[in-house]
Amino acid sequence: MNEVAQQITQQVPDTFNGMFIGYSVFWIGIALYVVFLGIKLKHLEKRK
Amino acid sequence: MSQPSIPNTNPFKSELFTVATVLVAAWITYAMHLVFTVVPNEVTMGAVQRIFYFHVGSAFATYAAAFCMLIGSLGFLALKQNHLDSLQLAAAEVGLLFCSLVLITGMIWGQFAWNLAFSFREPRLVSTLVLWLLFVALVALRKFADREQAPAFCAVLGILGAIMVPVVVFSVKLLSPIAQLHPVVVEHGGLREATFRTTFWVANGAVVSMGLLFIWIRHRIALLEIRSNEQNI
Repeated sequence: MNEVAQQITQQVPDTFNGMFIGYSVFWIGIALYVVFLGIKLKHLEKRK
Repeated sequence: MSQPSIPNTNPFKSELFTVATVLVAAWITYAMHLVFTVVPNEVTMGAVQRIFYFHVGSAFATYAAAFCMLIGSLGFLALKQNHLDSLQLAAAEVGLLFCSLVLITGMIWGQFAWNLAFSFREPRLVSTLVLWLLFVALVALRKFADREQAPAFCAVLGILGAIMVPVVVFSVKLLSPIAQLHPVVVEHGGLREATFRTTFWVANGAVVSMGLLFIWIRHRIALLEIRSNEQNI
């Protein structure tokens, strides 16, 4: 890695945790809604 | 007014559902590939800036849900048909989901990028919170109001919720860009790099299509619930 590239890499803040938490929350929210839809459908099929 | 026939089929078993789900899943996989392996880290914020792609996508999905909610609400008030009320119900629920995701991912992004999760001085944040509260009120009203009266009440509240969307969109113009933290990326000519732009639009399209798929499924489930209730009476 040349000197300029090394300087740029050092300047970029390490915010990987934020990205990881953000995407985890996003996909957990989506997954919970899909489960909610599945439960609703199961209840309806039982009522039939 | 005659009611259109309600389908008596499980929406998860139709061929159209399978095709739509596969397409949306492929689109989202491609968007995730672009977000995590193609676009480089933003220099000032680092990796957390990648939240941006799905955060804005969730905002667009919220607006799409609010638009469906408006159609359902106006349609129900004019025609009094069950399927329009079901569309309103489905759109309000999906709108609540994506509006919650916008707020949470935005707070995480803000906390890591600017050390500030939420501020009541930010017009975009406060107006989004108001929109979220309207979605919460709609879902709560549907749950606890009288079954006969709920559709009309929800339709009126749904129209108010949809009116809130332009307020959210244009709220960033209330203060000068220097006075607020929320970035106005597209309007200010940001995303000059082609890879940033492509990823932005692909991710937006993927999240909006997922939101529309959810509205469609929830709409079908709501119609099945109506049919089931009618059979049990």
